[in-house]
Amino acid sequence: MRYGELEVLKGVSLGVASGETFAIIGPNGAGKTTLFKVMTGEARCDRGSVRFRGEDVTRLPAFQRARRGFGRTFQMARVFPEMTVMQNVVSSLESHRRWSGLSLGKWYRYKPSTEVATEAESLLRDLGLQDHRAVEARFLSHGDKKRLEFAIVLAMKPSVLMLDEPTAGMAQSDRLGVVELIGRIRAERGITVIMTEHDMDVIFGLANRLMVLNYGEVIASGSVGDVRDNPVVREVYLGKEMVRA
Amino acid sequence: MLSEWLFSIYSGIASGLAVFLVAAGLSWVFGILKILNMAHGNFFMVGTYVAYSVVGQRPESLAAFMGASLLAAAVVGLLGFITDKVMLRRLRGADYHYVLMGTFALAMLVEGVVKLIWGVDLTTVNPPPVLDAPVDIGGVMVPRFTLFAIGAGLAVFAALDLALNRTWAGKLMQAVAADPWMAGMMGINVPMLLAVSVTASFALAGLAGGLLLPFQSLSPDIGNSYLLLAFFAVIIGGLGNIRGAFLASVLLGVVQQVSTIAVPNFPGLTVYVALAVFLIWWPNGIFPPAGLK
Amino acid sequence: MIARAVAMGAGAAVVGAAFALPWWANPGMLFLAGLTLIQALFALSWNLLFGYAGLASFGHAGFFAIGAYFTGACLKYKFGIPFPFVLALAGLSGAAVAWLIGIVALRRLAGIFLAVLTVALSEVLRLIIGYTKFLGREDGLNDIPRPTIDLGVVTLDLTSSEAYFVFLLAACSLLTAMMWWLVHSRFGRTFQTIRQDAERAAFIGTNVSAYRIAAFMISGALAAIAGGLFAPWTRIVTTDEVHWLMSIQPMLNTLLGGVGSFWGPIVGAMAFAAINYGTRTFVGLAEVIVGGILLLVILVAPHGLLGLVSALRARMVRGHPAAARETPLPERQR
Repeated sequence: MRYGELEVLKGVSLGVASGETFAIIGPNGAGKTTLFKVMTGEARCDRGSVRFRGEDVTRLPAFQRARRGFGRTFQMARVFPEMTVMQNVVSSLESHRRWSGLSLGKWYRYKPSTEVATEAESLLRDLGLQDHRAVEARFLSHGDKKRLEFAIVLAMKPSVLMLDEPTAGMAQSDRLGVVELIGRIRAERGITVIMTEHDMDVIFGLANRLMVLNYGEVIASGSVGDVRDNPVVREVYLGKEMVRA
Repeated sequence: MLSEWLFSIYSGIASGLAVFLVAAGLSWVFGILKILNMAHGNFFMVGTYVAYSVVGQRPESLAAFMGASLLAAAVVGLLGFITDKVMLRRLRGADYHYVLMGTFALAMLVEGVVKLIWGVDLTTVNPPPVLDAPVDIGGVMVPRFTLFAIGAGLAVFAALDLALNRTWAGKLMQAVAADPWMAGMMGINVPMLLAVSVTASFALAGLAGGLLLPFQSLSPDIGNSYLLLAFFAVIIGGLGNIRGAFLASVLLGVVQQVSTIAVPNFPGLTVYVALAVFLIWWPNGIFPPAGLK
Repeated sequence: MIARAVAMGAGAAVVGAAFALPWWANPGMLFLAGLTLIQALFALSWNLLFGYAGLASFGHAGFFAIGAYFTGACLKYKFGIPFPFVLALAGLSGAAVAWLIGIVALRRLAGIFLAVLTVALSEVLRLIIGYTKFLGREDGLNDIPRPTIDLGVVTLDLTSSEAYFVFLLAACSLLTAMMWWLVHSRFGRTFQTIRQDAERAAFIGTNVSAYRIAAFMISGALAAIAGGLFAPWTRIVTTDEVHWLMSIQPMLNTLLGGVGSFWGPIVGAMAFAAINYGTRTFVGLAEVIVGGILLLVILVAPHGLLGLVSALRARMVRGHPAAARETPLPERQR
C-alpha cells in the first residue's frame, strides 16, 4: 500500500507498507490532523494524490474509502449513543455485509441473522465488552467507549486502521491498555496501522516508522531510531523530555 | 429607458438597505447565539405597528416620526429581553432543531397576537411632510423618503460596524461570539452579554419597523416577506457577518427591483434564483463565518 | 409486557371506534375526524424525516400542496385517471420534487440551510401557484368532485362523506402500516445510525447522502399523498395549503405527541384536533393557538405526550422519582 501526497501542507509525501505501523507526530497545529483527514477522505488536497493498494482514491468520499478497508477511530470515541453496545456492533456488521454483498439473513426478519449475532458476540468478547452488551453506548465509561469504537471498526474487517490520537486524554494506566489492545489486534489480524499521537511512549511502543511534521512540512521521517536521534527533531519537538532516550 | 433602469437600481439600493435594517439584527443574533431567529421578521412587524399606534397615518413632523421609531425600538427591545429570559435561555444548550422550531412557533404566536390587536387589514402610512416631497436629482424625481431610508441604512451600518470593531464592548461581543466558554473563563459576564445582545437585536428590529413604517403598507404579512429576504441576505453574506449582510441586502434589493423591469411576469422569483445561485457556488456566503464581524 | 398489551388494546379500540364513526357522529365531527386522519398522515411523513433521519423540513406544506393541487386538478378537470393511480402519481411527484431538491442541495441538506431552503421553496411554490391560472391563482381550486373507483368487479362510490371517510381511514391505515414496517426494518435502523452520528455512520461505509435523499423522497411522497387524500375530502384547495401555518402543523403534532416514538405524530394530531375542537368558538386564534402550543411543548415537554407517558412509566416501574422529573431537551450534537 502506498500513500503519496502533496498539500497546502507543503510537499508532504509518505508511503506506508502493508503490515507496518506508521506514526505521525508533531506539535499542535503542525498539520497532523489535516494530513490525517486527507487520507481518510474528510478533506480534499489541492494538489497531489492518495493511493491505496495501487488504486487512486483521491476523489473518493469517506464512506467509499471505508468500504475499501479504512477503519477510522476518532480522538473522542464516536459511537452510536442511543443504541446498546450489541446494537452498535450489529449495525456495523450489517453495514459491512450490505456493501460487501453478503447476505443479511431473511429480509423480512427484523432480528439480525445468527451469523451476525455470533460474530458480534465474538467481537465483544475479544474486546472485553460482553458484560455490557445491553447498556446504551452513551452510558459507557470513556475507556469502554474506545473499546466499543474498536469493535465497530473491526467489524468492518479493515485492512488499515487510522487512529486519531488513540490515547488522548487518558490516564497512564489506561494508555497501557490501549497500547496492548492495538498491539494484539495488529498481531492477530495483520492490520496496517497509521496513527497520530502525542504520547512518545505509545509511539515508541508501537510504531515501526515515524514522520515528524512542523508547520505543514516534514522535518524528519524514517525508523523510530533514526528520528529519535535526529537533532533537528529533538530541537523542535522532543526537547528535553527525550534526554533519557 | 436608461433612466428607468437607473431608477430601479436606485430603488433597489433603497429597499436593499431597508432589508439590511432587518437583516442586521438577525445576523448579530446568529453571530452571538448561533441561532437563526425565525421570529425576527414578525418582531420587526410589531415595531411597525407600535410606531403606527403612536403617530397614526399622518405623522406630523420628523421629530414625531423619529420619536415613534425610538419608542418602537424600546418596546420591541423589551419584548426581546422577555423572550430571552423566558424562552431563549432555556434553549441555550439544546439541539438547534428545537431552537429553530421554537422561534418558528414564536413567530406564529406573534403574528396571531398582532392580528388580534390590530386586525388583518392593510393600512398605508404617509411619511412626515418633511420627507414627503420628491427631490430632483439629475432630472429624475426621487422620493425623498428613499433618501432617508438609504441614509438610515448607512447610519445603522456605520454605527454597528464601529461599535463591533472599534469599541471595547464590541470586542467583548466578538470574543463571546467566537468562543463563549473561553470568554466566560476570562471573566467576561457571558450571560449578561447574551441577554444584552438579544435585547439589542430585537430593539434594532423595532427601530427598523418604526423607520420603515411609511416605506410599505402596514399589514401582518410584511414580517414574513422581510424575514425571507433577511434570511437570504444573512446566508449569502455569511452567517454572523454584518458587512456581508450589508452587501448581500443591497445586492438582493437591486436584483429584486431590476427584475420588475427585466422579468415583469414573475417578479417574485428572481430573488430565489439569486439565492439558489449563491448557495450552489458559495455555500458559506461572501464572507465565510468566523464568529462575528 | 402488560403496558404493551394495554397500548395495543387502546389502539384497537380507537381504530374500531373510528371505523364506526360515520354512524354515530354528526357531519361536522366526521369532517374534523377526516381532517385529523390526513393531518396524522402528514405529521407522520414529517417525523419520518425529523425523528428518524434527523432532518427538519420547515416547508413541508409544499409537498402537501403538490399532492393536493395535483389530485384536485385531476379530479376537477376530469383527466380520467383512476383515483388510486392519481394518488400514486401524486406520491411520485412528491418524491420527484424531493429528489431534485436533494441532489441540488446535497451537501446543504441539513440544519439551518435545510430550514431556510425548505421555507424558501414552499414560498416559491406559493408564488408559482399564485401565477397559474388553471390552478385557480389565489382563490384556488374549488368544487372538486369526489371520485368513484371502478375495480371492475365492484364500483366504489366515494361521493358521500361516509363512504369517502371509510376509504380515507383504510388508506391511512394501510400507509401507516407500510411506514411502520419501513421504520422497523434494517433500512429504518440505518437511518437511526445516521441520525445519531452521521460521521460514524459514514465510516462504517454508509452512503449518508444517498440515505438522506431517500428519506426526503419517502417523506415527500407521503406528504403529497396526504395532500391527495385531502383534496376530495374538503373539495377545495387554496394557497392556504402552502402557508407557513400548514408547514408548522406537522411539527406541532409530532412534538405534541412525542418525537421519539412512531405513534407520536398520530397521537399529537388527535390531541390537537381535540384542543382545536375545544377552542373552536374563539375565531381567528388559529396562529396564537398553534404557535403557543408548539412553544409550550418545546419549553416544557419537548418529548411530548408519549414522552411524559414513558417518563411516568419509568417512575412507576423502577420507583425512580428522578427519572420522571423534567425531561431535558436533547443536547446540541457535537
